[in-house]
Amino acid sequence: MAAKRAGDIMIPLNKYPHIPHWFTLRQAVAELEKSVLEINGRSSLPRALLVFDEKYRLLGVVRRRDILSGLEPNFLHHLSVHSERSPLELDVDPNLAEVSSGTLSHTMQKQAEIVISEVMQPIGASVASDDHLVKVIHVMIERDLNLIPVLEDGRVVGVVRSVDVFHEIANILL
Amino acid sequence: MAGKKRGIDWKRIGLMLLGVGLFCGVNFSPPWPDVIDPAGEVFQLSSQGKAALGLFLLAATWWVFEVVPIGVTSILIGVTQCLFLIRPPVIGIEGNEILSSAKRALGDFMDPSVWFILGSVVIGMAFSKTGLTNRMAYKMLMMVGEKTSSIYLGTFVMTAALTIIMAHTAVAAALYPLLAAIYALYDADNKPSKFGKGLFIGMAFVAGAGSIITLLGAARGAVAIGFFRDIVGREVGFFELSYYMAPVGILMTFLLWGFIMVFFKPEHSTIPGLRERASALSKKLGPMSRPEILTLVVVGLTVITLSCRSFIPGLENLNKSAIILISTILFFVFRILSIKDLELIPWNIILLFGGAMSIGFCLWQTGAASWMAINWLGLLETAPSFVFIMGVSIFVLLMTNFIMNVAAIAISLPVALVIAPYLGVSPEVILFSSLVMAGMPFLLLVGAAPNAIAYESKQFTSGEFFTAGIPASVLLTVVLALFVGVIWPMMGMPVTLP
Repeated sequence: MAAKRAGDIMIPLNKYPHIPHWFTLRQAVAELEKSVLEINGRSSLPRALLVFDEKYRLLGVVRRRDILSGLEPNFLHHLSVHSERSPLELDVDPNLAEVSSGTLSHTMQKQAEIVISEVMQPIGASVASDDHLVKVIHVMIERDLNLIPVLEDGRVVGVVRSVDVFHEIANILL
Repeated sequence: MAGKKRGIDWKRIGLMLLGVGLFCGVNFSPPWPDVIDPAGEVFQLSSQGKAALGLFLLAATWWVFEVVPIGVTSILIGVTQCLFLIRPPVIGIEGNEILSSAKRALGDFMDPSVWFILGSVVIGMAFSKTGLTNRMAYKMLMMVGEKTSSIYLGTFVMTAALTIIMAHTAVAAALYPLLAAIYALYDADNKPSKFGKGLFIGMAFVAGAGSIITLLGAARGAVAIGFFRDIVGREVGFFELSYYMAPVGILMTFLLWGFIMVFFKPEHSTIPGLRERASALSKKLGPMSRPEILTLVVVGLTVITLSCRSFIPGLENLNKSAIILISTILFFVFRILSIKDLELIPWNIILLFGGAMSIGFCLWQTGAASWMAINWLGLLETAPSFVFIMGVSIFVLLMTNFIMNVAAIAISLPVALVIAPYLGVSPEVILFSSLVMAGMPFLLLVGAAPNAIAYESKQFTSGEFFTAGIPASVLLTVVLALFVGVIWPMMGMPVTLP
């Protein structure tokens, strides 16, 4: 069994939906809502957007959940009080949303103007295009990622999604 | 990592060396002159006393500028005492060493007062973890209704009430998200407003006012009582402290409410719909769970036992630290807390309190505190006792804004308690008035954790906090003067010595 390498199952960079880093959450939502990925005859909905800078370098990834967390009202945000003296992590009761439920859609409209770079996830891990599938799986599990950039000579050439990995595993098993 | 500067931090190195230089300068200087107290007794500053003064300057420099975490400065306090043999060892009648210098210096880090603090921190953890604080806060919200003036009052009373049973930092941390949610209903755009400033600044102020009422509200109380016991030789009970402090704390809570109403009068008089939403919120919580009930019972029994020591003859010999630590053990016996929670104990803070005990006792046992006190006595000799009490109090008030309240206590109390009898002032009034002031840093955000938490609301600048803090501090000083001059003597506290 000759299992594939990262480069074989990746999606080329230009095929995956992407946005510049100055886009707002609203624009990101619009982009995600209209994007459909057509890969090898299977169509799927992207779970994330790639974020690029002015020089077309990959800055990070913004996932659906990053956008949703950016839209949350401020008072629900997990709060860390940065103080040398006693770093505090404040846990928030999610039921508090009840208190201002009437104003939540107003809040979201306002939060939607935040720029994407404030909520995006910087690139934490990558694989090389000649990396073995097993390594890709390991990195995904270890770093809790669904999308990993693939590098070739230090340049990002594409991304591997967990669904592509899963599909490849299914081919091997079934 | 973006935004992190990598260069050498010369300011930090300079401040660290300043502290070390002060220690070396004082420690290795030639002997200092003796002082003579009004009764004619000669006080010699021993070489250990001199070293203690140097260590005090080193600790103060490192604590004030926080060049390393404050708990680490505490470790330095212990280590320096051991290496320079600063603490006099206890020698038995046969000349054998009963307690070595190191054992005395480092033993203070686990003084019963520090154990008491540990127990009170764990009570706060149990309240937060079981959700009891949220439940109480939501109940309060249902009671206060929709008028902004009563929201102020309800929030402040709730804050103060919670600080009676748990540390004010934990109270502020628990109430902050609730206040932020209420504020989102007041102003959907979350822009700063007078109501927002009043709500969060007021919460921080009142957390301080409430925290003085019992020994559970803040750790400084336990530390101060520890000094008092060693220096004056008298034990102040859990109930006795609350007996004198509760009237001050309660009066300040209501006065601060009035102050906030005037200083930050809300733009709108009501928040429509708040009551209805609060009851929906309360319903979501459902009935009390077993861990909640158990926590309430354990804490209730602990507080009752602690208070009853003053009334029931058989109980007075029970150590208060041992009593509170039973609650700690029970939380783990009933699986309310787990090993993870035990690991979350803020060691920086526990070490800070240990270090404060150690430097305070060091100044006292080496005679450095007495020497300093007699030196300053010359300046104060003609001062009326009332002026002296207020002078010490205002000193503590200023210090507590700049450094941790417990450090302010550790620095001022050993000296003030020695001076007091010379001026005919009872040590009790010094203890209680210092504790009142130490609890309420209204000027600077670094003064107390609730200030820093309130600041996270982004409703006010540090300048606005300072501006509101000036009249509030004046108000506090007037209230304290009233208690020192009139109310405490009426309640039976000795203010002057016979």
